[in-house]
Amino acid sequence: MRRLVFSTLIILFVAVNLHAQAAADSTEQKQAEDFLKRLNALTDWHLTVDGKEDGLEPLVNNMMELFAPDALAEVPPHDKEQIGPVMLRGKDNVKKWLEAIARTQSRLEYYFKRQTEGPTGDFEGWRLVYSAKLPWGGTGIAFPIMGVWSQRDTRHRYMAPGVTFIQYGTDGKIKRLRLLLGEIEEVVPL
Amino acid sequence: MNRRVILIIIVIAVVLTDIAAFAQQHRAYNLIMKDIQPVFAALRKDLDGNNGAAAAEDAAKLQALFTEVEGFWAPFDTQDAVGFAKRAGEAAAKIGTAAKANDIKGAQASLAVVQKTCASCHFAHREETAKGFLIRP
Repeated sequence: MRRLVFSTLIILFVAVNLHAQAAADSTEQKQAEDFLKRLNALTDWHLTVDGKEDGLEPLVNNMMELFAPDALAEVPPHDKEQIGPVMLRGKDNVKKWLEAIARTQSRLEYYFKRQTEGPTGDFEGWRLVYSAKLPWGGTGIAFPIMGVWSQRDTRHRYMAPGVTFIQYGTDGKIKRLRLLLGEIEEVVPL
Repeated sequence: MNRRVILIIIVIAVVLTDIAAFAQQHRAYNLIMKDIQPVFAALRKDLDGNNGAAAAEDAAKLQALFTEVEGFWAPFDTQDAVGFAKRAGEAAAKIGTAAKANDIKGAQASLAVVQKTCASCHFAHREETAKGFLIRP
């Protein structure tokens, strides 16, 4: 009896670990990580000594590779006059939005909100990515984030909790993006 | 006759456009920075040696260099860098005024402001890499 209980516990432990590994290596997890990595890289460009932008265009193009030509994106306002989210239709408008981020913001640090729960998540936490197969084909993913960025002109730093919803087509390109940021607060040193 | 007048007007317009374009060009940023370093060191030496006249001269050079720095940043939407250059230029002007009046202590206080302002700007806009420094917008 004792042997049976012990064996069951071992099998359960191995099963939980295998499941965790699969989640961390899943395509959806990688897609979410890739999205944030490319987003955060948008401001990693420099000025040349004669005052020209160096490396901005490749970074924007790198992000644009993720999008389908007919992408639809609902994004937070990026204009001081704008109230509420903006709906961008088509790749060209998405590109304009990304260029605006690259030019007007700096030190982007969007990251996953981690959930410290479960057998091995107590210390580092899980970077949860929820996913679903879409009825019309492709995959949808959603993941909670913290958005952190500085305004380039003033260097004021901001932080906001949010969620990213992405729908990928069967070709793996983003068809719909919904980036929600709420309660934007300025980060002020103590 | 008319043709000659038109030709003269065209030549003048071309020359003026070239002059305007030339006036808008800036020296390479790394050259400006490399010029600041020895002038700053000389200024500090002047003040340590109670040499007000030489300090005033070097302070004027420094002020002109910071005007160039401001000119580099002005076209970009980077107010803090423009602000740093302005503040450093103003502090250099104060050094000059104090040095002319032989107020060495006052000049040294403004020199500290220049140094702090340089450090703040470098922290925000200078990135050190294996290949050298990069300008962070």
